[in-house]
Amino acid sequence: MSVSIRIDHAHKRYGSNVIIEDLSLLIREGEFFTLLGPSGCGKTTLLRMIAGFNSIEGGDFYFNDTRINDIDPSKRRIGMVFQNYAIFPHLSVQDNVMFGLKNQPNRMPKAQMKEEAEKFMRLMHIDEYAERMPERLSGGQQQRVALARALVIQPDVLLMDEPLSNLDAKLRVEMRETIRSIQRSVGITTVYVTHDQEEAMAVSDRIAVMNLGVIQQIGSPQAIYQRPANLFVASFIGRTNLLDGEITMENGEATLRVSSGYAASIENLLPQEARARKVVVSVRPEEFIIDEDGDGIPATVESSTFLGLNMHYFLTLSSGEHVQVIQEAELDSALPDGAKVHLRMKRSKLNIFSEDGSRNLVRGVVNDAPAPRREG
Amino acid sequence: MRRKHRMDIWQVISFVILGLYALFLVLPMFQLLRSSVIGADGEFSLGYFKEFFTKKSYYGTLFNSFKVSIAVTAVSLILGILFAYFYNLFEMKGKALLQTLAILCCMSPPFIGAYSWIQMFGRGGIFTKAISSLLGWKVPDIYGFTGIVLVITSQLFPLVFLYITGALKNIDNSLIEASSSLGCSSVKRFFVVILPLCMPTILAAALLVFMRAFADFATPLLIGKGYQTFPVLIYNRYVGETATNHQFAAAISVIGIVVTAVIFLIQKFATSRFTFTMNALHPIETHKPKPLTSVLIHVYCYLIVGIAMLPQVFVAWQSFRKCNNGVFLDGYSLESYRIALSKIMKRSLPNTFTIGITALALVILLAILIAYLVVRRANAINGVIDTLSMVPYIIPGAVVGIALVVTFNQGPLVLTGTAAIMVIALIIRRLPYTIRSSVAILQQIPMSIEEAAISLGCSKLKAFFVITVPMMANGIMSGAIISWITIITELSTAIILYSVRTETLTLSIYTYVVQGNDGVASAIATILLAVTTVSLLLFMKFSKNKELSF
Repeated sequence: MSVSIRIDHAHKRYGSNVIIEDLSLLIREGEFFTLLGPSGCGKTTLLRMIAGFNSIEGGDFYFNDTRINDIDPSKRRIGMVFQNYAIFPHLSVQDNVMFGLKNQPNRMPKAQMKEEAEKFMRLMHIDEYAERMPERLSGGQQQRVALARALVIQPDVLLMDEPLSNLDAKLRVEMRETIRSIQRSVGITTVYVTHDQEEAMAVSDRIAVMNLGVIQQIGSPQAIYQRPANLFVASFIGRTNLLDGEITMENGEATLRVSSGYAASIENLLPQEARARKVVVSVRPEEFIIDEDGDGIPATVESSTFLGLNMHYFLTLSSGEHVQVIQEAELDSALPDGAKVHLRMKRSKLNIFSEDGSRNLVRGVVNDAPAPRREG
Repeated sequence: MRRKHRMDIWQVISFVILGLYALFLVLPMFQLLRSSVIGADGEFSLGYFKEFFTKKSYYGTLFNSFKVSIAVTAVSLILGILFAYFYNLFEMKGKALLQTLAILCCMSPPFIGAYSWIQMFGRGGIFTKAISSLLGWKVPDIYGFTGIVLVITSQLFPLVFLYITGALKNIDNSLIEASSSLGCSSVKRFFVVILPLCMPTILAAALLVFMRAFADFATPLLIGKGYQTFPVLIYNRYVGETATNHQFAAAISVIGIVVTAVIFLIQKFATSRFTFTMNALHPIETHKPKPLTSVLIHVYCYLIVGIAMLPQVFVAWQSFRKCNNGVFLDGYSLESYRIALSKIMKRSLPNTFTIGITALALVILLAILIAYLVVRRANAINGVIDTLSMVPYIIPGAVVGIALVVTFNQGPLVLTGTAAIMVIALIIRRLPYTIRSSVAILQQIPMSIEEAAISLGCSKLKAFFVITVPMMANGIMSGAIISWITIITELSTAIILYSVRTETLTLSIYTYVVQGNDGVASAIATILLAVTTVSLLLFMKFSKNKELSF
């Protein structure tokens, strides 16, 4: 049975070192929910608080309506997958998978245990290694064992702590597809921790972007990529170019001016934010349009990289700012180094942030994170 | 904020272990200190200390012990490091044999070396006589300083060898290759790359050798003659002819602890300047030496190991000689074994096994639990346990014995003369080593493995015993085998604590050596040697990694 997870005002510190000040979130039943952030942002700490391996210094954790703060981790009905797999090296694959079944409060008969274990080993394509010892398995196979072992006990929640970070790039992609499809078919509430934003986008229903113990934004992959709630999210998810800019108002119409003197009218500013002010503009590399002779920001091509599907250009604007631009690679159309061009922007896709970067001034931001509780 | 105040099982274990340390280590040390400053009239007095530092025959033993320990440490390091270097960097014949012999040498019962060297080269020794009658040469005197250093060194350089071999295994071959590519000759490389990389281990080995040499009691007692060392003084004052004076022995013991503690701190300070971790992906490859070098290397390694093995081989040979009341005759017989067995079957052989196995089982259990507390449950109480557990490391064996006697020969808990006090003493002495090796093993095992078990429904204690302990088993076994051998060959504490009922094999040998009954002494010694050898060989046959941890 899947559960929803509610965290109210979680607080975590080690001694006087506060990792998480005050964090609340709601994870829906059956959802694939990812905690994403740079190392040290508190994502693993939070996951281990849900699992019960880290003490909780404050706040309440609920699975559905059951408060779990004081429930022993062995009784929380969680399945956990660890970064280093944590396969028991002295037990065979089958014994690893059956381990949890043997520890359940109401043990099923041995034959049934075997059957269950076999079912999940087949699901993870490791049934042919059932009798093998873990040291004779590859990293990817070990991770499959870890996943089968966590799922076979039919936990209420699946917790995964950077499960793919020890695998090579190709296996990582393969395994994340596997994880995603298994999660879909089992329908279990899953909390997934990673620092890899591409991985997070590939697997998640919703992503919580964390930094310094604070949730920056919760939303679907699309929402956080296209309409990041603040500058941190914009620069952490995907690549982006940041340009200093200024909004000017004329007859209720907003005009954005970037430091190179280029100006464009902006229609999707939030009404309450629409006033003359300094801003930071986030332009993703694919949101620039290179115009070889038309108007736009004057720029010079410094270098370029051909990556098959795309061309990456590194340019310097007339203001001295450096930007990256990605364009679909065309036959024989690469711009030579030193070429003088103009850059225009796909205006509707732009994100414009307040000068301190704390919020997006554009309409359409989806953020499920509860507003932070104001101190005092 | 709600919080349950239910005691976690590991907290209970913490308190129990802390209690045991308080009773069997802190209390005895306190009692020892107390006895040392209480005069004959029951008043506070520093008289014993004053006596010690004003009489040359007393304080001189301290200098003697220092001289012996420094000489032994220096020679053992040179012999052992060279041995390890040759062994690990060059191809050699019979490596497995060499290593096994080296282990056997440092595992030999403490005083068999001294006893055997006397039998061979002492006054009236078999080789002394043979050489003087055949060649007319006078063999230099084996007694005193030279003899002590020779005997202790031949037991301890193999230990240095084993330590350094372990360190060399952690040096990645790429470091050797890098130094060659940067133009380092092999001799220069030894001093500039290999020695510095081994420095933490060298310092650890130096401390161990120094402490053992300093605390060695049986060797100087037998072969020292007029050259009295510190532990011998403690023992003599304890059982001495002049007076059974525990207070004075206690005072000397306190001085001994201060000395070893200072040495320990100096070593810690020196080690703190060399902190780096190494983990070799590709261990050093051996290569073929030039023919002449090869001969020299073989001669060196086999010669030093041969000399170290000599006393044990000799004792085994002597045990088969015909012997009549301590006088050896021509020809061979098993008579010595017949007498020996009839003497030891009743008491000392069964005692050795019951006391040894009990102590070993408890040492392993306690070491695992303490290692777990220290590694996985770092807090103030466990920090105290960690520190306490290392204290016996610097206390000479004889001192442990005296402290226990002073504490448990009267009062509510009288243990003197029982097997229990022997077991306790052995545990106290061996525990620091086993804890260190268990801690090292546990640090290798990621916590997540245990958490995985807990997330799958195991209780904390069950996860520990079902998952972590089996994973530690190999490493624990390699420490346990060394513990087992040290326990059954222990003498310096046992000699202070034993009674007729708790006599063990080592004590039987000692008794017959002192009586001059050389045939029986040799036979029992050979039996003990056989037990240690068989234990080691069995371990090496069945252990997966064949690594021993000391």
